Amino acid sequence: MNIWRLTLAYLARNALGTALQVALLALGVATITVLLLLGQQLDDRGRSETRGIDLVVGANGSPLQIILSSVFHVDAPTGNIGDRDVDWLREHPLVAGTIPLSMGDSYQGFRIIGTEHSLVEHYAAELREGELWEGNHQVTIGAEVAAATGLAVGDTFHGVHGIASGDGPVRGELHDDHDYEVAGILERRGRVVDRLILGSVESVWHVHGHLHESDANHDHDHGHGHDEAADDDGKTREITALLISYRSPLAAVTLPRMVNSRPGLQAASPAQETSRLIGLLGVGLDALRLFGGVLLGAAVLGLFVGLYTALRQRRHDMMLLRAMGAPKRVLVGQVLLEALLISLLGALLGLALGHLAMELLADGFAQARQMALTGRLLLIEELYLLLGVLGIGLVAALIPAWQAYRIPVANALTKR
Amino acid sequence: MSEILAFHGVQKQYPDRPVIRFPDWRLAAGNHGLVLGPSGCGKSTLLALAGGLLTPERGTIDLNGETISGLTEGERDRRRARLVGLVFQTLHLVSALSIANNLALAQYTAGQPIDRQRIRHLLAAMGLESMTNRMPETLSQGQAQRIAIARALVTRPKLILADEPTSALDDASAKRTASLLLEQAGTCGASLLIATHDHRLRGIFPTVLELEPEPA
Ligand SMILES: Nc1ncnc2c1ncn2[C@@H]1O[C@H](COP(=O)(O)OP(=O)(O)OP(=O)(O)O)[C@@H](O)[C@H]1O
Ligand SMILES: [Mg+2]
Repeated sequence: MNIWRLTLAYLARNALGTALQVALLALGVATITVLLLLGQQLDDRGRSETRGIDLVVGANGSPLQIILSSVFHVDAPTGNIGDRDVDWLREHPLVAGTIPLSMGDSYQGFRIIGTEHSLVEHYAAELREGELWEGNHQVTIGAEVAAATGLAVGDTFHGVHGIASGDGPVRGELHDDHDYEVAGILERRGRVVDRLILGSVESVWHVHGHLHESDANHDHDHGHGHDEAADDDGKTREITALLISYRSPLAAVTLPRMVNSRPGLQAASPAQETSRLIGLLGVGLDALRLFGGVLLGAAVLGLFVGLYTALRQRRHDMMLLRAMGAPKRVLVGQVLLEALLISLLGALLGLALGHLAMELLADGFAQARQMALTGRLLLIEELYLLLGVLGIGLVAALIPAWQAYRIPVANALTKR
Repeated sequence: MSEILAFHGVQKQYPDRPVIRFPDWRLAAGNHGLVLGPSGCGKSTLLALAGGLLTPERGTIDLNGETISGLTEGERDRRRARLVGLVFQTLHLVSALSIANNLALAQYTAGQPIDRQRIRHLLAAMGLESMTNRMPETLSQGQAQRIAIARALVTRPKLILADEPTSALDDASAKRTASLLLEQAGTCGASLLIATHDHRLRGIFPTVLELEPEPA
């Protein structure tokens, strides 16, 4: 028997009240935990996915959509750009390097990207097995693709026309005529590349059967999307977007303007669009943060009221303890211990709930999956959150603890 | 023979109340005493002073040969925890704990190791073993009081202070409680000091201290 056991006995006897206090705290902590996890990962993804890409050029449309579709691979692309524009950009003196992206097909919901080996270098992705693709029939797949589809090196599959841009795989026309062969599997990077199927730009053209020599003089409508391109028996080599790195910081000033002045082209800065996106999300996150704060405030108030009323009920017990020779600090310690235990339980449960909710969120939404969000991640901020909750739990216990300190021991004999 | 308790010129005054003057008296170790007097004369106050729950404005109180009236509250707490067992009229047990754990709590506050065997033996010796694992709210007032006596004894105190332990009981129960107290105090060699206005106990005790009625 000691103050631990005594405290546990009090908590157990008031199980319903204790459960309520713990639950309220846990909800507040869980909300804030989800916010921390989400905010951190969005920030992190935004930073890591855009690193090394100074500009993305796509077909006319929303720059945000271009970034979402070509960098984060969540949205549908805005359309295609023709090879005259591509060549112009590749040879531009302000441009240091380019990576083409061509998309339009998918396999079991995973995008097939026509590109060059430089994309693999851009992701700093290592091969886990096999080789990088060669020729027009081979692909190299991300770790998540391999895990989800069970594709192994040497397997072949047919792509489906249409890309997964939102929820779940697209059921489109099956390209029976064109087999892809898995040449290699990449190491898991915890980034979007895990969920991509990479092949050559030509392979994507091959699938659609319109590998034609580009007609330099053809006044092609650059703005149309891939779907149309497939139908109108496209007359030109087209790609969906071009990732660009600058030769000098000066390029940031002039190149986007030059790109945008060419008909059908749209330049999008990953850094700008990502911070704009996070700014947009920020409003929602702030509302959620406020909600979590209000919950936590209510929980602390509940804790205070619970301790306060418990102490009134236990006045006699406390007098008895004092009469038996227990010093005041034991009484104060008991109250603080009770507050700490409730806070600790609430905080731990809240952290666990937060991670669970984040994991469900990451698993339940295609966009979250595509951005490789996860609940299986620990942040140092969670430790601060835990300590903070313990701290405010102690603060809530200050007045009840002072009451316990003030209980007059002499009244034990005379008061009923 | 040494004294367990001695009062010298003790005066206590509650705020805005007349001064209560206590006669000089002493209780030899192992002897039992009875404090009698009408309601309001200061019996409970005397026990509180003896147990170090209160300090007097004047005079000295010696407990087990040591003057406790000048000690700090914490020091008095420690003396009380070690030397004194208290039995109250109505305030008996911590409601969240079982009977056995109430006794264990007394050992804890006395700074003693928890001795489950001692608890079992004591309850058995007092015919209370069937209540070992019950909760206080399931006991009758009389049963709870007997458990409170066991709780006061479990730490082997030198002095047991009991305030009105029999006033609420019928003649038979009052006699049984008084003899239980005497018997158990005897087995652990403790002195017993009972404060009461219950004259039924008068014949049983060798030392009787009669307090004057409170001045009007
Ligand atoms: N906490 C207190 N504050 C002020 N006065 C008090 C306090 N406790 C006791 N008194 C007063 O001191 C006097 C003695 O009280 P005490 O409780 O010692 O009497 P008692 O002899 O035990 O009476 P009873 O037989 O009714 O229990 C009474 O006049 C009482 O009103
Ligand atoms: Mg009294």
